[in-house]
Amino acid sequence: MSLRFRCAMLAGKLTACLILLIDKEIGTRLPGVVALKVDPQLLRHIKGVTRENTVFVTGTNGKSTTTNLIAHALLSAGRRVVCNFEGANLESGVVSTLLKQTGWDGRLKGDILLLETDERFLPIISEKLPPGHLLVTNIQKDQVQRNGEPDLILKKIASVINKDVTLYLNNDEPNSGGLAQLAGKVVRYGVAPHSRSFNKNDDFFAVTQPCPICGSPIRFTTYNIDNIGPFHCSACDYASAPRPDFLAEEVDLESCRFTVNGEPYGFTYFTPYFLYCYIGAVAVARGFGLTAEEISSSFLSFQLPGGRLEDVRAGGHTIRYLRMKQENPETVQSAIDVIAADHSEKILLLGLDELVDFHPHYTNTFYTYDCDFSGLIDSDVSHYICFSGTVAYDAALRLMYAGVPREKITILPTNDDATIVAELNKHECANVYLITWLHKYEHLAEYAKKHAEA
Amino acid sequence: MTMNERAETAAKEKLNILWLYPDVLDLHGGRGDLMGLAHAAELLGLEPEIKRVDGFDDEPDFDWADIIWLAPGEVRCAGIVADKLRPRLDALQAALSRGALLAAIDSSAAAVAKQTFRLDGSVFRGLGLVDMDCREMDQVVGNDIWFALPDGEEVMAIQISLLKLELGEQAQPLGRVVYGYGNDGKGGEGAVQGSVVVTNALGPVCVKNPRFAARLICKALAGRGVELTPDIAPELTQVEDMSFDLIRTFIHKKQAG
Repeated sequence: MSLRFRCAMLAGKLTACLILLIDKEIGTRLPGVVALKVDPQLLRHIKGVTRENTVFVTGTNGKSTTTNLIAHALLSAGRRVVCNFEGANLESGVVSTLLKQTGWDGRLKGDILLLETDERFLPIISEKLPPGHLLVTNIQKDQVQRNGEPDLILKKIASVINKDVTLYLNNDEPNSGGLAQLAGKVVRYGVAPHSRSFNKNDDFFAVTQPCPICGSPIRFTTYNIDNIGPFHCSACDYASAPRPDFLAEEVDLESCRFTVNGEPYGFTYFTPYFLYCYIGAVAVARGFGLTAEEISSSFLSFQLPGGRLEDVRAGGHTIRYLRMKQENPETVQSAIDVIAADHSEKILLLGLDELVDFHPHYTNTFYTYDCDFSGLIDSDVSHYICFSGTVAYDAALRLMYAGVPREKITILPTNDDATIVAELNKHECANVYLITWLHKYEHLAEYAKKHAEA
Repeated sequence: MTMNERAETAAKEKLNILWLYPDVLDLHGGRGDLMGLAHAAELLGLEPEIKRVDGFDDEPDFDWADIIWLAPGEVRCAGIVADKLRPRLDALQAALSRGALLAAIDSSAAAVAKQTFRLDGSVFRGLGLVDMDCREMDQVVGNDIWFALPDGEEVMAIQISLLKLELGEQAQPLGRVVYGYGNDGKGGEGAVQGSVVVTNALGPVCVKNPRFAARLICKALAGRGVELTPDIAPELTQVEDMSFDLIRTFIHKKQAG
């Protein structure tokens, strides 16, 4: 063990201790940042890590949930797992995780290293810590200010795949399927059509995506969730496998059950989006020798990291928050679908805002035009309130283009909590949904709580 | 003639929009521009019709089209689209010669450019309809873009660019950048050559800027002798206009630091 590595471990671990003493909110990455300053090659020197026991989970959506499901299953079955549960998925975050879960000798305190990995940082991390197992959840439109286009992400992920890698692929997602030819072994997982599957035959403006192999249009037989479902290329022979290795069948979203190769599994999070996280976790956990019973049992006791966000009480209203990720149409679509499934009268608070992830901050809302609002429009929304100090009018325009009459939309060009709640109080309907960034929800929830106490 | 009178007169006019390969050029909410074009056409008293050309084997009816639309897609797809259109270039050029408008948005600029230089050293050919080369950048340009057209109309949009646009002598910039990056950070935005229009503007730009959409429509219809001015009454675009004002304020704050 080199002196530099020892110093890096010491510096990182001391930083972690100081954070615990001073302020836990400082962040999960700082110990890693400090350690990497001392030894940029730290990841290469961790002991007890082999390709065989290293699993990375990457992709656009569902990384955290899938990683945590796999970890929970393995831990529940008594395996010793080192995992970045907190979702610190950049290189510094991964190092922070390893600092916590390695001894002073730099040896991993576990038998399996399971890491959620940011798709942009995957090549950097993999160069120093090559995974033997790589699960790709999906490659979709996301954070265009840094990712540009899906093809860029596809290339980054492709760069780390070789014949030593077992690749776990979402069989129903066209972009990532193009990676199969690069891997030594491919394990495919998917979901059979179910009661919430749909098609877009009636939508003139519906678009799919180009084939990753030949660029021709992809055709979906059905959609299990937006842009994911059994598919084929309209020109070449590229298609989802008719029978993936792990297929969730007999999916019952009411009683929360599905079967895989005839074996029953239960689950608790019943929106269709989660099915792919569950079946991906099944594929990996079975690969590490767990039984169907062990995995199913773990699913029933699984709780999402951070738990369920609480409903907010504001006056006579109950506000249900639906999280969206920045510039990510799939998360907006998932939120819309949840609201659309509630056919009772409701109000929608739509808080799109400027993007503040990178500099320069900017006012992008075009990702909402990649979403289908028709289900929402048909689900008895009595009123819409669009708020934002920058893009409230653009959010309203999106709704108007979806067919919402202007008079059903209140536009608040502000993020002021009092103004938003005051507007809400003008409406009697108690059932309210909120789509906005997490930090805005937290602000609004805090305001509503204080207001209620006062 | 008042706007209403003109609208009544123009109501007989159709606007034919050919939407090329929507499943291939599928990025950045680009389908919204088709909705925006149709809406602007209605505000001008026209009857818009959109035809999709979905598959590469489907024959585009360029004779029918007033506007031919290439929405934003992946850079690689712009090259593929150029390859698929090349055997149909004569028909496309005939349509352009009679005045049909071809619009290429964002990375689809590469489909109408002469050539595109990629970061990996490869080069692919465009259709060469615009005297312009595209050069892939190693960073994504992501920002608001605010630019002015030669007639003074201002456009507020979003730019997500992987390509720098290098215009040759035969191509003119579509507009002058007021804020943002544009083609190359030097003040020009987009390109115009004959009846081909290129822009980096997303948003969707035609939704956020109905008067910009109206200008494209008027340019297209002028090709078949329909004289129309792109006036839209302010009371019909209140939400769009207030969006412009709010984002302009935001940009001023950014500029102030």
